[in-house]
Amino acid sequence: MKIGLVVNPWAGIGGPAGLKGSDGEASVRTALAASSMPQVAARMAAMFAACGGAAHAVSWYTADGDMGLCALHAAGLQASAVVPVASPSQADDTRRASRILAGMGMDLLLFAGGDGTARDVLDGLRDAGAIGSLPVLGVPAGVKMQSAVFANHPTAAGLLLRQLQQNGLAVCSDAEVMDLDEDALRHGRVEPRLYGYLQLPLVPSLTQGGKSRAASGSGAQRLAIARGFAEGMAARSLYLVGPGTTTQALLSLLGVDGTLLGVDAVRGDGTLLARDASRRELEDLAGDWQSPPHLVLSPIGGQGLVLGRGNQQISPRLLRAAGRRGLHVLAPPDKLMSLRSGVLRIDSGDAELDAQFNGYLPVTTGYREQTMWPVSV
Amino acid sequence: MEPGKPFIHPYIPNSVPSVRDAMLRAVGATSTEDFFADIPAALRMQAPLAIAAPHLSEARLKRHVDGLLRKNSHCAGQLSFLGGGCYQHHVPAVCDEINGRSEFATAYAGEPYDDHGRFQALFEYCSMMGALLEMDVVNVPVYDGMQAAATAVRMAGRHTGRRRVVVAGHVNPDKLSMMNTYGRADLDFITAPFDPATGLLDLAKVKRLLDQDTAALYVDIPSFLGTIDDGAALAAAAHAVGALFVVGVDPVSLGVLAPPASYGADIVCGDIQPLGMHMNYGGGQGGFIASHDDPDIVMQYPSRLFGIVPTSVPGEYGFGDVAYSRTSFDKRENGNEFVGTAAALWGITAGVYLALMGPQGMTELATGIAQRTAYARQRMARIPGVRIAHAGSCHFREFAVNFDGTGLPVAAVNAALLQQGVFGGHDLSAAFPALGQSALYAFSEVHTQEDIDLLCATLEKVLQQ
Amino acid sequence: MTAMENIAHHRKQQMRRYHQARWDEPVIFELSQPGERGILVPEVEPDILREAGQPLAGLPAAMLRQRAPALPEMSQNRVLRHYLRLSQETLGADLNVDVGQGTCTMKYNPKINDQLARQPGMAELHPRQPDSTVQGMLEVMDKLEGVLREVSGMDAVSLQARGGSQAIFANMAMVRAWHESRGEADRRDEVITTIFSHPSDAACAKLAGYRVITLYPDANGYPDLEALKAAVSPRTAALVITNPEDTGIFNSRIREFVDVVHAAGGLCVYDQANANGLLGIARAREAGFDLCHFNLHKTFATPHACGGPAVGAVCCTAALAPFLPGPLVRHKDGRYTLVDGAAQSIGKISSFTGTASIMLRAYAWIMNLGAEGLRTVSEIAVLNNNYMMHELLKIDGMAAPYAAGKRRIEQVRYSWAGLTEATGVTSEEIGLRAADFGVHYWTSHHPYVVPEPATIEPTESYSRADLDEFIGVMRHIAGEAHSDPDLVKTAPHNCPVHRVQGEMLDDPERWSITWRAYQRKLGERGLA
Repeated sequence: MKIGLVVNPWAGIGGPAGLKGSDGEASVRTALAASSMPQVAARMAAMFAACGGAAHAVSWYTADGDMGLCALHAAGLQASAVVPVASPSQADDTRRASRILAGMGMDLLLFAGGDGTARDVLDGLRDAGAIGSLPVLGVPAGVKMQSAVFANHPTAAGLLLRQLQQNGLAVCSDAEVMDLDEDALRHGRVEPRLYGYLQLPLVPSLTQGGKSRAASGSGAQRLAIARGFAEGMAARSLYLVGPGTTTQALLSLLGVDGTLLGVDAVRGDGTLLARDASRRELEDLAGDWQSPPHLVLSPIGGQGLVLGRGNQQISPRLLRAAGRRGLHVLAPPDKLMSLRSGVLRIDSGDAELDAQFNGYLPVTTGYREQTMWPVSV
Repeated sequence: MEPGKPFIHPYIPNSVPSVRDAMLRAVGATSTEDFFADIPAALRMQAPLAIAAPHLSEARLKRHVDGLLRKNSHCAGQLSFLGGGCYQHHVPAVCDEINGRSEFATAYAGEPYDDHGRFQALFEYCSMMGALLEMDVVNVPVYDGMQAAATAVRMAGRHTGRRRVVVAGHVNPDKLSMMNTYGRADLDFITAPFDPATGLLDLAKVKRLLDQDTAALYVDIPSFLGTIDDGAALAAAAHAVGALFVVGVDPVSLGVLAPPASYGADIVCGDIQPLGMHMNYGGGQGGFIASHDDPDIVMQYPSRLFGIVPTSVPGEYGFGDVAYSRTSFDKRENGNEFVGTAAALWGITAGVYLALMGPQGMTELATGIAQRTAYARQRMARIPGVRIAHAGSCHFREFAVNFDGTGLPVAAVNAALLQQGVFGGHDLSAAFPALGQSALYAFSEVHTQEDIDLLCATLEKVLQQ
Repeated sequence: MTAMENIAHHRKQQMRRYHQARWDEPVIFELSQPGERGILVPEVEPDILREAGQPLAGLPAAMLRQRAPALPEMSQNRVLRHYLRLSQETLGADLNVDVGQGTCTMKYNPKINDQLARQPGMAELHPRQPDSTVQGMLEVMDKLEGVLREVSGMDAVSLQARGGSQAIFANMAMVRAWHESRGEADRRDEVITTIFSHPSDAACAKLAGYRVITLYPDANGYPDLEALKAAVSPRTAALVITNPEDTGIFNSRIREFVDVVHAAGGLCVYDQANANGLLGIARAREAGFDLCHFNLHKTFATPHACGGPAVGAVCCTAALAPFLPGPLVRHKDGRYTLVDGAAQSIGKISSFTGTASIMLRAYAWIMNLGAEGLRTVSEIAVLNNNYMMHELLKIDGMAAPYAAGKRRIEQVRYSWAGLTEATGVTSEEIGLRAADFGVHYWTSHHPYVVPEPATIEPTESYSRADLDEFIGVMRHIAGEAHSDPDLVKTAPHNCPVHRVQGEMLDDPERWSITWRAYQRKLGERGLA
């Protein structure tokens, strides 16, 4: 098994010092001045400890120095340093290293950092054309952990790595990479935006599980959800389809060339009305429509946001127009199980509106399969 | 047990009061009632179960059940010519020996490690059926041949995305009923009539019923009436409209009849009861479904499929479930019905049977049955008043006998036969009114020439009266 | 130390040094020797040969078999030996302390029942025999139905289903028929179940054409009543639920669940696969259910047989009895008959009257125990389970999530998550290592809602010493997870085969479901 490792040595900076995130040279200098030591080394050590002997059976490829080689050597592992890095490393080194490793035919890209690091990794994979094909696993070491590409903690990452080395890397699920508006954050507003998707490996089961239900988390599951939903669409109704891989499966099924990260407006018969639409466009469309709009949304893995303020396009006005009846949440069971708080979240910015969605929301989890999931507003 | 006396039972080791009490103390409970504290009083039974007094000793239990079984007359003691989906054959002693083994009898859902033997035995059963059917994919047994048929047509429906299933009019009527029960949510069933004179399908009529919305043409070969249709022609008709040709087959017949795959069947199904299972009043049934190794069709199987795989030791075999993610709704999910406890032990037994019989045994068995059937048909045809319903057609193992000429209903004929210690063929008159007062007579290798001659003589005698 | 002391001293101290038979037995086709015969078939008499002639000559050539089937050719004892070896490589409940297969209820299958069922008076009955010739069989069926009516509190029973899943399907078909009879079937297209109920509940509902709403548990592990209220609507056809669920927790509010669904016009179906702790204790009827089913191969001690044959008994209230599958057993003036299903019957759901030989075994089991016996079965099953839970929870890293401090009924879903976090060893790996000591367990259905699960159901069949042995194995392996995790992670070591390499199984180019497919694919790769 060939694993590429990229470490953001600056991840975690700012946490203890009360800063949020380490992007931007100014922040880093401030943090260094306040003597926040990078915590990433400790996290990596914990991860390798949990991984145990399996790490020795892996062929490691990484970047120089504190962007990977140091952590591997500290764990007593051999590695090929294939990405030269000047010291101190720069923000775009993560992206560059990811691109180079992705181009070398890795089985998995392991990285350590926070949301910013995940974003850089995604960019690097995109540069290499490897987003859909190279699975990644994030060792959480940053401050901002909105993305779903991270294991819950370093030990869990090490454990998963051990399982993968031993049993193979079979199934992957789509995991969101989130982005926060940095300026908004420094002014106290948390507005996560969907940046993109990466593939996260799932542990293959060792046992027959003779009475198994759906092995979820696969493209097949998303397609099943999409099929079922498509069958129930009313030909003349307006559907505003939000970002995500499940919703994109729906669009594909309808024959619509929609966007992964934006909101697309379609008519129930499959006619595309607006692609990657702005809030204004959507409100205009909905305003002119005979019947209330339908919102087709997927929650963000891990943090469970169905609708957040970072979602620019679906405004409170649209949510009000759709109402409970017009809000359709699509999510495979593995996504619901991944919710850290166990609940879905709706945070449109209009608290009174949000309160209407308190209680339980139906979530479509498969073909003609639903569940009722608690919502917290 | 006397009231007040502790109830200790051989099947309940910890019913011994001292052990029970020690365990209660260990968990801090005063009585077993503590464990039911969460059950609301309104749901509790207020009185003991009102059931018959038990026979606590094994000796009295045996006597009781023996007494009940003695009220049955059975086919080892009577001459029986009953068929129609369940058949009397010789069950090799080795078959009983193997399915009586504790390990096989009491295993369930262990892993392919601790239950390697079970996996291998079932893989071998599937493989031997594959050899008999000349198909690469055979499932682990489902409940019975009728369930297999109902499932097979649903598979065809999912695979083609179509709703219509044309079913031969001479299938087991119970089988058609079951197809309806299981398939009605997704399928529409149309019956293709058979010619009462020949017992065969009318190809022209079948073709008229096949259309672009047809998922499958389903035919039993041999039919419920023992006749044998032209499979190749039917396959061509089905394929001409893009439908699948689904054939229900008697595995014993495949010693002489061509495997349906060779004349164009896409999915083959049937019941394995004749392959080493005692009739058990219907308890010996088990269903199989088989197909070619087409991934699209494989993904439609709702039942388990075992595959052979290497282990970490070179040269060692293991087994596992193929494409288990089928149950993760890859296709239109409805499909992948339910995996449950069905008839696995009968699958293992059928494997033993096929291994004992081998190619020669299966050929000789089927040839002999065809010969006995023909002999019986000719002899019975000579009985006054008796007419062979489909005299001009070839039959395997069973045929319809018409008694209209005797003026007696089948019920009366069979009652008279019964008095002579013979189980006559079962009554077809309700299910197949076009055949008048007819009965289905079945023959196998258990019947000697004497037996068949005795049947004829007895029939003649009772009909004269 | 003397030889006698050697044995006495060491035997007290160690784990069972178990090793399963390992025969490295070839696949049967590899044992074939052309010409060998396993059994000879009765010859056809000369008169028959002469009169029959070529009985199939009238068929088109394409309908006649051209070459004999490619079956193995082996003499009889070689076949016997092969299968005996395979049986030794199978760990049946008879051989091990089979408390680990939660919800399967792996209790003792009395051999007397097998012996009784093998007698000709059972084994040689043809299902189409006239009723007058099978009075004993029909009486057994009728009496068995009577017991099940009493155990469930229901009014009518059908034994036709050949397994639990088929019985659940029958129940779903009856639900549909009920709503059809009231003209509401089109409107009522949803069935509600829970994630801890059996997957067959959802699967059978779908097979019957329903959309399924699956509820996840509340924070205490109980089915979520508020979620149910949110899920129930005029589209609700039925609630299908197992109680206790596979967690072993009895839902004390089950009556409320039933009332909520009834108020919306839906029916309530009780999956009683987990009935072993409730015989004579609590019933479906008092909880208000309309339909229920039992697995005779679980609660009523018929053998699991590698996965059947089996019986799923369907029970219902009088209101639903007209929809039962036919034929039905009727008893009048000491005579038993089979009658057709009612006009509204859902039709046949299996051939003939079902798996009669299994019914006989269940009947015999019940007749050997009686009312007090059945109740004792449940009391001791529940005692055994709570004892095991008490002891297993002493193991560091093992937990029984939900319903903290409460007793369980007949099984428990444990979680090894604590141990996994500490050592990296997973529940599946622990289960595989357990096979090295002659036991095993089942984790859970997927998806794993309880992390690192192990579902354990002792039943009433095992002694305290048996339970202590199993607990000891768990404790021992938990220790190994700390001291020698790789030993656990590479288990099993003492089974007939080593770790399978299953990636072929999902690849259509390489999967081989039969030997002939395997040979063909090897040939295609030049490996044959």
